[in-house]
Amino acid sequence: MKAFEAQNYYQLLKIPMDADLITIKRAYREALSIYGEEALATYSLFPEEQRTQLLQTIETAFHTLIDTHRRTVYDQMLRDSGQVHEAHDPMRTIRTSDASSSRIATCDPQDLRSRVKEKYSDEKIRSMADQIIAKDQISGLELKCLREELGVEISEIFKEMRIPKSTLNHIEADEYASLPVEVYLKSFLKSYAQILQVDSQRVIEGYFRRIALSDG
Amino acid sequence: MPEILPIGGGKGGVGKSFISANLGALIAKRGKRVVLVDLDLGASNLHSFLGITPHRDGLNSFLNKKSSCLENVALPTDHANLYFISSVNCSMEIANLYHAQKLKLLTAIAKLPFDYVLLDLGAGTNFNTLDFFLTSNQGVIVCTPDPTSIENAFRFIKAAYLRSIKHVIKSNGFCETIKNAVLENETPSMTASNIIDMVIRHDPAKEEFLRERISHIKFHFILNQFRKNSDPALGEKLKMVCNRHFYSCFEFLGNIRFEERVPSAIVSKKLFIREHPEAAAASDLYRIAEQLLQKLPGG
Repeated sequence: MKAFEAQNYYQLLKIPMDADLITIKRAYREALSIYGEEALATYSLFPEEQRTQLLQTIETAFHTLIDTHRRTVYDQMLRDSGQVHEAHDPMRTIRTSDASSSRIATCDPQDLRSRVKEKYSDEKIRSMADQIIAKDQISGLELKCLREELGVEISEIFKEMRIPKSTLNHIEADEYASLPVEVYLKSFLKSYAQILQVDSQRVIEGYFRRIALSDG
Repeated sequence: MPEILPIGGGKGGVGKSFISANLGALIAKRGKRVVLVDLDLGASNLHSFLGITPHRDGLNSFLNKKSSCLENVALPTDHANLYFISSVNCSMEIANLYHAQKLKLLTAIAKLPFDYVLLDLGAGTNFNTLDFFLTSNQGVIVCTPDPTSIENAFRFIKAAYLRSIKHVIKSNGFCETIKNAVLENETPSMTASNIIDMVIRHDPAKEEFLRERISHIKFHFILNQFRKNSDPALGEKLKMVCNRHFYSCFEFLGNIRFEERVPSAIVSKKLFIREHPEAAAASDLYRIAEQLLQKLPGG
């Protein structure tokens, strides 16, 4: 059983580093509904002691992130200890502390960003992205095509944004039943759109509209 | 080689046989050749869900060598492409299957000339059940949105997880210290994370190998007997929690809504989805079958 040790507060609550207060509160409630003492989802999964510890960590994470001052100090600590890259970076990245993945050659986020940017100088790719974004409904398949056209690998998005690869695959395969709950999905789509350098709000809206219409 | 799909989940009465029978029929309906194997040894009742009374030989004829080939004891059902291997005629002592018999059975199952083999497992976490479950790396865990069922499902997952870690360690040249600790002393309180910690300490080079191997095991959750007041996000939460705290891979296939007409369908010897194709539970089963076929390599 893995615990929370290797995760920072943002990873623990599954929110991006620039999450606003509402997102943080929602993620906190979600975490409690999973790890709380009366939660069915973890009933009997952890020994009592471990559950108490997990809950304490969640509490600390929440109270740190909703307090502007403590959050600033915490973010500074993450940066100083090299766990995340520069602040105010639109692509703020959480660098993994996991030994197994750091062994794989990591590519520089700056590098990825400029690579994608360069691809967009190609008129064909630019207009493909514009067309997809202009659509009312956006499918995972379309996003996948765009990603491939831009030469971005699933593993790069995983490394940059810590979105599980299986989730990325579900998003791209339009396997709606396997997608995470709304709040996570939104934040994943946002990160995904940021990597592809397209309007994240439109991607989220388009994707959700398509889910809604595919239902029933 | 067939796709083997074990259906387990720790607790009794959560609907493993109900789901096996109906999923089997739905997959068969898609034109795949399917055989259902009742491996709830000593407590078989898969036949009841299918509306069959197996008078002829089943697993017993294979185990006592009357029939040399497991395929020959598969009975046709009144669903095209759907076959059934019963264990209802096995001896009263069948629940305590010998190790050699288990191996013989597992080998024969892996060679069955069908597209899909669905293994309906019994409750509990005895070694036979765990080994039937681990014979494929894509098992289904059935549970209901009740604390006791979830408790047993977690217990089952932990037991399966621990057993597969032990199998990996046994057969892959881990250092003696670990082998001895894990296999010979049989410390009863040894958990999967104890073992992983131990590997990190004594054989760090193997840690990644071990993790890699257990990451290939896939568990698919189904929540059965889902009621109106059940938490609609429960399945996703279970999946999230397990993916976060275990090294294996967890998927959620969906909820099956509670259906009170299941017992009456059994009494009238009709398969539920055939008797009540319009039921909410039937459409849930249909959706889950589609999902499974998409996820499995043979789909």
